[in-house]
Amino acid sequence: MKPEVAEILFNANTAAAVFSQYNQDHVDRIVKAVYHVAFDNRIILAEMAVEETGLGRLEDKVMKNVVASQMVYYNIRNQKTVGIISEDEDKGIIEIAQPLGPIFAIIPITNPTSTAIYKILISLKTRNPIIVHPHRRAAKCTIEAARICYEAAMNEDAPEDCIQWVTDFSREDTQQVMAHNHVALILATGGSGLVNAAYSSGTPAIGVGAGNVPVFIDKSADVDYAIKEILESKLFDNGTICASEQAVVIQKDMEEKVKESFKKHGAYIMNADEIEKVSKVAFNQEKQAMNGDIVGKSAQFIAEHAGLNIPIDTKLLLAQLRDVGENVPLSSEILAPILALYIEDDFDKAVNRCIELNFYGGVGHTASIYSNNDDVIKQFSLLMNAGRIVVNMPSSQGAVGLTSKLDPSLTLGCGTGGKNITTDNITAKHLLNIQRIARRRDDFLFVRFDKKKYFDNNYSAEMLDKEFYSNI
Amino acid sequence: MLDKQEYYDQIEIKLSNNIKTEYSQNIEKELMDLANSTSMNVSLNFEDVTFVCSHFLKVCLRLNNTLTSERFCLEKLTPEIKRVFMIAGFDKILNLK
Repeated sequence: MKPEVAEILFNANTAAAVFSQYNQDHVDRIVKAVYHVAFDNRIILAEMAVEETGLGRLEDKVMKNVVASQMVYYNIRNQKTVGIISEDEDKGIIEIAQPLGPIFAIIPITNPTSTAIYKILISLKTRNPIIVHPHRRAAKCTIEAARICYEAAMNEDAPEDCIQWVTDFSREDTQQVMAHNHVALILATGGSGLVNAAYSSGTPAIGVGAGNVPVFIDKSADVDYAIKEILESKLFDNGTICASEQAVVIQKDMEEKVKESFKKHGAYIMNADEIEKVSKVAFNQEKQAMNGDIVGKSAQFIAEHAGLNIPIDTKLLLAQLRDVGENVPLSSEILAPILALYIEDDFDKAVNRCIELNFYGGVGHTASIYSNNDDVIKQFSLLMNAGRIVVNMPSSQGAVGLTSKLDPSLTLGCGTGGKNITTDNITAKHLLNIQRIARRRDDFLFVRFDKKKYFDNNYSAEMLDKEFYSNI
Repeated sequence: MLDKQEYYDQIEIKLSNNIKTEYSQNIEKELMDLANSTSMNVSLNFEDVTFVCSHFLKVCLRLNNTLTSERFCLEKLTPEIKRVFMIAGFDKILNLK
């Protein structure tokens, strides 16, 4: 291991030791100071991110920084994260929050400053030092976000090296850090390569990669409202949020209304030839993944590269598709203003299409529905394998907690389907080891039960249940 | 100014209760000068210490490098402070008594 890499790990571990002495008041002062500086710099950091990466839209990058600073802070500010956090006299259980230790935070190119701010806030709130690993094409803005946060933290007497960042890390350096016993947790948000490497490292990891979000517009929905919201979401930062809609599914008798509404709101409906051209620039068949060159780019940029002649006011490219899978590139996740549209004969076929999309690269992530029928919403949700099913709202904004009461977060758990331990939106509570003091509380039924019966071969579960529960 | 006591072949240094960065920086030079000049054993008395900063943890390592763990030890650590050294993994490097 390079000496400078070893030093970062050593410093992080030392910071973890020092941080373990901090009380809740002091932690909260540090977190508040970091929130303030992050919020105050939301615009400049957004400008830096757009300039450096060439991805997304400035106003949406600002909003992402708002989610990462204001929304995350408001959500965690009153949480107890130090020492005794709960006492239940009846159960005889007292819970104690302990930090995990150094966190290695992989930051994606799509949301660089916002993800850095959010991971720093939740790490500091839980007394965990953080090592920020930026994407190489977003290093300057990510490091600037980390640097100003560190400065603010140090002004409140935070532990030295509680926030560190790395530059010019080779793949080998990254792998060595991920596998090092000084790293307690990897928070990996980004490409599947890094996320898989995090899981393979042997260190506990929360990694979030791809989604493939289906949106079902039910007959009971307000179609025009739904399309307007879908565009607001899909165009948010040019579609770089992994919870953004990837395919809209409707029933046949809604086709005309839906297409009219899409056109009204700035979508361009591509013909078969245009779909093929856009597929070639948007999807890398060899890698079976979206083409990084079009991620976060505008519809105009993509159309130009694909050789399409589209109206100047086009905001979104709409591709009506019939199948899902490897031979249909636009049926997979594309983080850009390209949306698939499926028109199905009836309700069951429409929901089946959503299931296909959900299972084609988006298991555990997010699904979306527009409906004014609670039964349909529940029926649809029970059939989706998604950590969050957002209802009648833009999926990007709803999933990250901007337009819903989900925990504000830029790392969305995808459950076991996405190789995660949780389907939660990842936040401070996931960065704690909870210790439980357990006092004796005997079950009175168990105490008075004649234990000799456990050794009687003829004594059955049915007899046991009768004895335990017949008089309750 | 260090609070020093000499016993036979040992110098014991009693530390302030709150070892913040500023205090640590203030005593670092005096401690290092002592380590470089004495032939006696040196111990740091943590009896009253309730907080220790990153800087001082690193000062302890530097003292250990100069004196070696044969001649340098940390004494009377409270459980809270001992835990800090354990989390940092310094129990494997320093002589904690």
